[in-house]
Amino acid sequence: MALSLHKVESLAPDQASLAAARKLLKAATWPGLFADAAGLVWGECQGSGAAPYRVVIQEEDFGYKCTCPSRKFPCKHSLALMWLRAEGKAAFQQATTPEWVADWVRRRKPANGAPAKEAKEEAGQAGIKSMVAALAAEEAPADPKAEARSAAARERNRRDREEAVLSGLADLDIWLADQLDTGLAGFASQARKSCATLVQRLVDAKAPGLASRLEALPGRLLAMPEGQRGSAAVAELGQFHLIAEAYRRQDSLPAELRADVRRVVGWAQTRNELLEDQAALRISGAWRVVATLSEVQPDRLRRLETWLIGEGQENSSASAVLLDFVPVSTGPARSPFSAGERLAATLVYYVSPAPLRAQIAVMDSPASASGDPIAFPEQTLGQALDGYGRALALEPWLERWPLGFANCRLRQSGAKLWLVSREDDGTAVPLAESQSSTAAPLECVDRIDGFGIWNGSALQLTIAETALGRWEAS
Amino acid sequence: MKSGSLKAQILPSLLAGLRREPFKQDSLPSQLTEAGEPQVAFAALSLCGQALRFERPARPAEFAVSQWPTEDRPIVSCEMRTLLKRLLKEKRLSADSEFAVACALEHARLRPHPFDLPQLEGFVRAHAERLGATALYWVQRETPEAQRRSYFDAEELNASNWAEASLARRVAFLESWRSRDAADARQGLELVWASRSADERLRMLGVMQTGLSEDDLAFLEPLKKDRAPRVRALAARLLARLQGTRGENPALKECLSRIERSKSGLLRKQVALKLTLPANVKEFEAPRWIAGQFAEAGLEELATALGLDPAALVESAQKDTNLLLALAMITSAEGHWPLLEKIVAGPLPEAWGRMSECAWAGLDPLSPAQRAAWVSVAVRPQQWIPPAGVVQWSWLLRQLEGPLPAPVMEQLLRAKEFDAQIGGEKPPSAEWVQAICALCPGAFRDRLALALQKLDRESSGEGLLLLEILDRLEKTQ
Repeated sequence: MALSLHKVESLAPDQASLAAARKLLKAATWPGLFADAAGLVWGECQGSGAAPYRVVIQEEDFGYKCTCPSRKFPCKHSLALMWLRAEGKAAFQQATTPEWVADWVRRRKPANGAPAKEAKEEAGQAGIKSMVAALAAEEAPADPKAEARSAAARERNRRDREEAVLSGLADLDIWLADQLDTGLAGFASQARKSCATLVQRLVDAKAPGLASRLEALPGRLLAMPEGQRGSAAVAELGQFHLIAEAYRRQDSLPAELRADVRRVVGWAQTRNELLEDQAALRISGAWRVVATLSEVQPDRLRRLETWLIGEGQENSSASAVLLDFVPVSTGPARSPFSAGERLAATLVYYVSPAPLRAQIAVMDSPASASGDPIAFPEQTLGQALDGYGRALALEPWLERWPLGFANCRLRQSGAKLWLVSREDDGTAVPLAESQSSTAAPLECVDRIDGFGIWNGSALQLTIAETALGRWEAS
Repeated sequence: MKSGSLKAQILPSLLAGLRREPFKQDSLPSQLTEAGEPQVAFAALSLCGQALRFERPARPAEFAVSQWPTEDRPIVSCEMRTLLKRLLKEKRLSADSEFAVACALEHARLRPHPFDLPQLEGFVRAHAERLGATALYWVQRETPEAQRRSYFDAEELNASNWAEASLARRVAFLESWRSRDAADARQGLELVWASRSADERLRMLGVMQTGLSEDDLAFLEPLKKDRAPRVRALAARLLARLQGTRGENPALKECLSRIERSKSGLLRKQVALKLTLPANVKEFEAPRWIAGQFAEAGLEELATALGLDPAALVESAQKDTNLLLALAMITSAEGHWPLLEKIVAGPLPEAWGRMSECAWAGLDPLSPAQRAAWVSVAVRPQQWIPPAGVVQWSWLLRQLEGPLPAPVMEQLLRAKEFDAQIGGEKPPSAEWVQAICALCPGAFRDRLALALQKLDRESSGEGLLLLEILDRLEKTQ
């Protein structure tokens, strides 16, 4: 897949990185530029230091690596190399991959999340001992007694944590009772102060998921119109009680709901554990990227979301969200995907009564830009909301749900924009206030088929197909 | 228990606080009351909260009527859309590049994609008049209806709809109307005259130069008392052309009081004129003072008052650059190209540069064709180009609202000074490059791009992209 300038722009973490990369486009900066038939492109970029930075990119999936110490990803050197490649003006010599490039290829996990190639096997064939192979070799001789000791320690830690979480939930009950005594009409106005202590307590109680959810609550409430904040506080705090109660009664819950509530509270499931879970739902087929979002959480992590909808016969009604978390301190970062791209992959879903979050298990064909119209589900807005209702019935603490819809239009009422079904039922949902300007041009088209993320009170429209072409949330 | 009754019976207590407003005994389902405090309250909270979450938003009773205009102008292609967004979001994009793109879009009768309007807000706001009715609607969407300008932008203008079009199109239409039927065009102008701004009146009055005749006297006479000085000056100039110089012109008297007349030469005494600037006008302020002072003076009447013919007047001012500048302004405004040529080919090739320093607006009443002719005469790159700055080129771009005439660009590319500015030790600024690119006509873009290859991308990046965009837009016409 060829790199394009558009793709380079979309990969750049910010405009300043692009501007910095442009300064590196001079031929003199790159003593040598090389490429091979497999889509690997590499070169050495002369920086201010004595040794040049080594930069390599993989055209197939836009992976990159640079030896510079920049905390921006991709750094200006990687962007500059992509830019040179995309522009096609610089001459790239065909060459065999040097050792440092081959080593990177063996070690990397592609940006799209698919597993790395058989690292050890390839390293063995090449007669090279990479760092991964070396570490694996070190881990090989297992001591059964040590393993038993560490398993026992893990079990002890787990029990301790279960107790800590339960004590944290007891504190949550006390806090909730206090809030109910005081009344929730004015909760939003003092939510930040009110939640802060309990958030800390939940962190101490090793329930980070619940703590994050509570920490984000004031922001969510304050983003709503003032008149709705009281009711919204009731709905939000009601979920906290439901989560706490479900967690305490988890043994009597169905397996999916149990797994889900544990994850909501903060028990993480690693990617490898998920891939090894044979019971986890797997869906293969073609997918379209319908949204890429980046949001800084109160815990200083940047959450990168990539929303997908199924395109093939096998997965036409499926949707999924891929989540990545990046520390804010590492600078701006974006999803490696762009809205509208098409990919073919097998997704494995985290166990849940309403499966949505997923990981890419196998990437059959990497993401590539596509101008083809996206086939959104042929359902009315009302039907899409029915789907949300069903998901909410299955997972009572559901936060957001994807809505794919057809045959709607955008109308204005007061300062708000509403997505209105053109069907007889006349269902209407308000758009998020942050989109009042960016989505306003959609008012000039008669019909919108699109996709958005519904949080129960406002829709964040992310992409739409119209008679005037595709609209994407900027 | 239904959602409605939950909201009616439980929600008020949850909002007000259970301390102040406990649940009424009969308001809760019996299964809940058995649980005991505080579980009852928690259960009520969860139940009510979930009931609220299942509710769909209430549809507003009415929606605003959409006022998006329907527009005949085609939208730019997908490729052009991408290029435009790339250029117009550049941090170092100059106002000249934006202006050139807006003019090119207007000439190509294309408009930006409506979906891009929020992202290109600054550009659209600055050039909405050139970008079509949709763009104009977009920038005025929050303006009270009474203050909005018309979104009218018909593909074909005619006598009944021309007054609603953008100023540039209005002037172009009026010009062709004047050349077809001068009297009819004048009557059309008279109908809309009173409601127009000073700038609009000036531009539209400039059109009266086409087909000027005695029949226009009745329209022009009252304009000597127009509230805008520039309109008054232009009306006086047009009247002078029709009637010759008669009557008093106070502005001319003021000018004459500043001109000293003497004789010079050994064998043949010739008249030499000198303009004396007031003591409080510094040299760098001279162009602005001259522009203001001579705005209402006509060439014929000035020459007559000095007892010379216009050619002799220019000849007599050869040794005074300030007076020459004044004469260059007057000849430019009145379209005396041979006399202007005599000035710029001789001692004052930088006349246009000095005009630009005071943002001289004397060319405003001229038609696009007249301005192009003016540039062909006044701009002589082989003799003078401005030092590496953008003020002069920017001003020139705004006068032309398009590229330089081909012969002028040819001269510019051949000028040694231009080469020196591109290849000098200190590279030219990105703004300078963009101004030159914005002025470059289609036939010379490849040559210019080649010349700009000498610069690093930081200086030339936006300029090269601008060249590509202008080229593509021209080819779609």
